[in-house]
Amino acid sequence: MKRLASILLTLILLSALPIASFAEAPVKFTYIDFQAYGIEFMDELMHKFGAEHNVEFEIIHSANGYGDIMAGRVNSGDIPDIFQVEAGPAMVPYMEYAVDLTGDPILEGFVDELLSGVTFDGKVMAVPGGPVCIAFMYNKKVFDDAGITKMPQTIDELEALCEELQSKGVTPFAFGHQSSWITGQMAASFISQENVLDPTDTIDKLNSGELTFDTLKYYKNVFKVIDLTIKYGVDKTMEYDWERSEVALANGDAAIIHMGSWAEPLLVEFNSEVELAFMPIPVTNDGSAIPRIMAGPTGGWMLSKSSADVELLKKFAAYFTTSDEAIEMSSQGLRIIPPTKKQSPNGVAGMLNDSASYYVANGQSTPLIYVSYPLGFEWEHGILLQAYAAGDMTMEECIAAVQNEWDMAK
Amino acid sequence: MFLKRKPHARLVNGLDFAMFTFPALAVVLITTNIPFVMSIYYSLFDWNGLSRSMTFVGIDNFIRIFTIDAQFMKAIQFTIRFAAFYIVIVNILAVIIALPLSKSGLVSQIGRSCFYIPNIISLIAVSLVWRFLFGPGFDALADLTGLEIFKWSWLGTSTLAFYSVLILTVWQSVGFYMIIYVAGIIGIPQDIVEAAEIDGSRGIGHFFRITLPLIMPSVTVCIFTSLIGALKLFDVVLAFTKGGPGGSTATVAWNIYQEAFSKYRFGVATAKSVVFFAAVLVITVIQLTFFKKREVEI
Amino acid sequence: MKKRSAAQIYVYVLMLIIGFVWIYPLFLIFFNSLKPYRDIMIHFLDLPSVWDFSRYADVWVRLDFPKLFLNTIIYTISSVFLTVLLASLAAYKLSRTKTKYSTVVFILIIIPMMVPFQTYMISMIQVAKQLNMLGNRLGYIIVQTGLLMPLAVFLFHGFVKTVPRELDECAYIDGASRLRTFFAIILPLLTPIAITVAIIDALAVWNDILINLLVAGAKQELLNIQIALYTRFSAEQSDWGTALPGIVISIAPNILFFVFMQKYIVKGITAGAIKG
Repeated sequence: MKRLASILLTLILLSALPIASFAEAPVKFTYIDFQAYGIEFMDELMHKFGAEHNVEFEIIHSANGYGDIMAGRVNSGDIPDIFQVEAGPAMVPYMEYAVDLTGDPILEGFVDELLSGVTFDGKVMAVPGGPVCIAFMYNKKVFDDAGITKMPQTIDELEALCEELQSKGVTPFAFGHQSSWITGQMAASFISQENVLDPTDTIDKLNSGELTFDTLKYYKNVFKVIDLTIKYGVDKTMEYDWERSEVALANGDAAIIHMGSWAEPLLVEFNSEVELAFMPIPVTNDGSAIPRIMAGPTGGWMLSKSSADVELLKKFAAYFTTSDEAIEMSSQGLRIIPPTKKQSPNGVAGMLNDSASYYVANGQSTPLIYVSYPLGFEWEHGILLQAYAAGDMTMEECIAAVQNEWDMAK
Repeated sequence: MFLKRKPHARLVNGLDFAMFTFPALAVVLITTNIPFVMSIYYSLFDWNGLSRSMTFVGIDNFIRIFTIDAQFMKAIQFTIRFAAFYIVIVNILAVIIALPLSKSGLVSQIGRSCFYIPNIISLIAVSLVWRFLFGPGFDALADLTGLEIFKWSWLGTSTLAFYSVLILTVWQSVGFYMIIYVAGIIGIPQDIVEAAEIDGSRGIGHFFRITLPLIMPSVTVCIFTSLIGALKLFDVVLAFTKGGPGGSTATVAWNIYQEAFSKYRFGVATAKSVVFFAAVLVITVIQLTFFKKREVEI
Repeated sequence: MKKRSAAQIYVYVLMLIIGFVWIYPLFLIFFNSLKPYRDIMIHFLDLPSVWDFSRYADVWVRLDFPKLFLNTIIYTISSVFLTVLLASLAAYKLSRTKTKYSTVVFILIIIPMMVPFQTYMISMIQVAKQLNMLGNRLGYIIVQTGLLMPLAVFLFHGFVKTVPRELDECAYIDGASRLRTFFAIILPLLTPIAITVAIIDALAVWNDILINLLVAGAKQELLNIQIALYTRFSAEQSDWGTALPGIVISIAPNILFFVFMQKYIVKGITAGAIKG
């Protein structure tokens, strides 16, 4: 009897072991993004989910080298399970590797307009991220102290405003010229104002040749504004990258920069008492267009078709963007409006979001047109404008080069 | 102990040869030669580097490089101009430092270390060091000394950026060439030197008529290495300027890298690489033949 | 001992001064890494008032330096060992054998020196993928070995000429196999150039960024020191307060290594250069 009992016990124990280890083996997900900040919040979400669902995350935050890493991994067949992408044509190369989410229940929590930013040929290929706003950003206190109350409606008024600031001893601009993508983004405002109701029409016309950069209504004014940012800018403005320009704004060393709403957490970190607001960009002097801010989703996360557990992955994607914790983290931590229908009961923190909402409600916004550029154009666009800013190209040369680059990319 | 029989000798020698050389050959083939041939294949296609499909375009990519790609031409100009300045400056500087430091003794050792240490630090650390110096460093120095030179925008204007890159690369690499020249100078037989001195040769004349011809092997090696290094320059651009401002410090290698990874045009990028490789090959062969002829046998 | 003329002494002193100025940037980095961020801007040239090592501890932990060091050391030692071994074997045989095959093989091995890495980067990854060399340490080591091989073989090849052929024959007739001949007799005589090669290769692997990025795919556990530095602080970051300690930590091993190995390095390059 005793022997039987011990045999039975051993068998039970032995059988329990494989079950136990089978239940223990966690699923491994690889996550990659190109975020430069807010990383702690995202890590936290992943740890929470990982703990609850027995998932082990390999997290790669790569503000630099994202392109190399993705190219390496795609070509080696080791695509990360979930990877962040920029909205628009940047998604197209990855589409054959991504899960088609059209009609999937996890999409229900999202605002429809944002879904359109990640839809191609009628198929939703990614989980959208929250919308951001991009425009000139100014330090309210500096403006108040200098007695500025009105937003400039034309470029000439912008110049007058700069003169005013300068006479009061304030440096008007700390434009991050070294980060050429900023210059490119600013130029996008001017391009999108060509046809505010249907910006993709402008893109189509540029592709077909019906419109050229030379014939765009407001593109030439980009250069006027660049000149202003240099003339009324900090010393060595060409050496200011995005971070340095943000520091200058936060400390009140300069009044205006060009940036997006995602920067608010960092700005507040630099100076907890800073007061910020958006300034819509005037694109002309003839009154044919009102100043606007750019607003729209910058991208989202794509899910890899070859993931070990696509269903669990989808669950995670939903959690990461639409769960209460995610909404809260986005609203309070990242200060980005969550892309969801449901919003945080505490509202979205952020002076910039308030400012942006005001302009959007007022009809003074335009979509982020640069996400619809042909692939590969945006990168060089900023660099060419930077060459003009550095004094290496005249306006005509620059426009010709930009046109050339567009033609090469389309 | 058995002697091998003649008929089998060839086979044995063959196997022998294989055993010694094939591991090395295999590794090189896998990592470089085969990939390079593969990329020649890609240059005939329009491919974005990520998708599984690509379209055949023949020599379109090559035509395009030479006709409408202005940035590529700009990169070529920069690379050539940089190479010219770099080779001349770094070699002259290296020789000048090598002369006094080729004597033996503690002073020489310390001196040589000072110049060689920048060479063992990674390029990224060097780039960060000099970014710091040209940026906040110069700002502080400008405040302290009030000198004009510190107020210029070394990284923000294209003319100065060229020199910033030059200064950085020379600083980092002169030690390497210096040591090769030191080796060459040490290798000059003392009797020749003494005979020349007895004949009244000294100073600059001595250098050009005795020293220089006898260190020609070192010169060949150094010019070859500095030439290739300058033409292939990439790491510095990656970590120091990212091609800026406005693409004015973009080298050919950087341009190729951008084309592939930032603009998603792999076919074009590989086409450029093929052209680049051919150019480098031609240039180095010319350089080597020219200099080999001038080496003096003792 | 030749008498030193006054001119020579002046030159010596001048050299020392210039040498000091030459590496002064490094001193500046070190001193400034100990100051709080504000101080760096204001008191750039001064010695730090407080030697604050706390940021070092912070960076050490944040970037996980212990793991980075371990990885980098493993990579460096393995690649160098493999390269020196395979390159010396191959170069010896290629130098001794005067056939057409030998020339062809030699050229095949040497020619990559002319080709910049970017030109075949992506294809290399695809080949590596086929051979299962991506995302693991062994794969990275093999790739590094392959990339270092051309120069290594080139250097060894020139140097082998200085070893008399008669030595090969003597040993062989005495009954040693070819391989044994090589390891027992030839290799020890190649020591100077082997050291040169080892040093050049060690530096290349220690300081590598790009290949680590591509082959390791930035898998966290495979990173080396330079990559961590690159992904955190590069052309657009200005967080000097954290970057400077990071730089010092990454440079320190190199400098220490050099200080200790100085004699051999100079000897090795000297010997290699003359024969090459």
